[in-house]
Amino acid sequence: MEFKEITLSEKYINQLLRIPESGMGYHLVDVVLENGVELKGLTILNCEILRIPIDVNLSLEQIRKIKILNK
Amino acid sequence: MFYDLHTTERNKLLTLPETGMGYQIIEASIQGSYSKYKYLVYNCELVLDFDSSFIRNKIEVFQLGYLKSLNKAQFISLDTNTIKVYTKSQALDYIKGFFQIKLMSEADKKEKKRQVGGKAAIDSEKEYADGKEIFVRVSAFENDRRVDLVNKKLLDGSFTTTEEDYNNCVKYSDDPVDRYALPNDDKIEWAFYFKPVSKDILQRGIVQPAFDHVGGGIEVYFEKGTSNDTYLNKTKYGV
Repeated sequence: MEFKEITLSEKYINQLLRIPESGMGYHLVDVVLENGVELKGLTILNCEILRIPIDVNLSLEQIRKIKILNK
Repeated sequence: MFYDLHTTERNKLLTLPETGMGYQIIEASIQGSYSKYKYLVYNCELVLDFDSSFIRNKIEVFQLGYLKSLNKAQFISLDTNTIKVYTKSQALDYIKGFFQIKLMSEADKKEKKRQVGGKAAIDSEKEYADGKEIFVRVSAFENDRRVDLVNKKLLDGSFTTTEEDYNNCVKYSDDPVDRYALPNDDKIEWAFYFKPVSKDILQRGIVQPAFDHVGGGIEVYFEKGTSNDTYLNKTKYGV
């Protein structure tokens, strides 16, 4: 699968810095959009780069919430 | 996505052989449809789409836990007359081809000093650092955000490997992305060194397979990070 990257805003970066990683350098997350759709099982690298499948159209403004998948 | 099965389908699967211990790889139609799809079924009840979303869904199930996943799952209605279970040998070529899973022989693992079996760090016993051992965090990012350069420490809830495992990775020309089962294929460029003090708590474990990577490296989890002034320096990877 191919991915593209979105750089997150400071708000989410600061949130992720305070939350344990899922592994070395990344968080596994679900992203909830403003329209209620959930994008499940995405990866955020270095607390700042959200990787999404290349065929998904998403802008930062569409993100309502990022949920961390806890172990 | 993942699903739950109605009693009729569960009972049907109970009459059919497993593909492996605790699971069945099946092909079946949804009721009312002619198209057949592949699924992986755990314990004759929890169903995952066996396609390009499988790895992602499996990670979610692993993160949630089995029971929570089952509670969260929506029902799927399979036509029990169409259910076909794959044997392991029948499934293997499909698995290798579709997922392009990297398989590593035991000999290769031994040669590259990877570990076999064992628990993830987060499931392991807590221990205190000895104040002498050095740990290394590998990263594609020079500005790795879990490295607090102001207080010279590792942030709470962060992972490293041991210096020994890092040196083995470099010495035996191993692939750090595969060894530490990292989600992105960006080249690892940097190594950050830490020497926690004796009050810092850590958990050691083995990197579990993930993201189509074998794992087997050593991982170390610092739930509370490290103390101030435990960050030593960074180098380019492999230097």
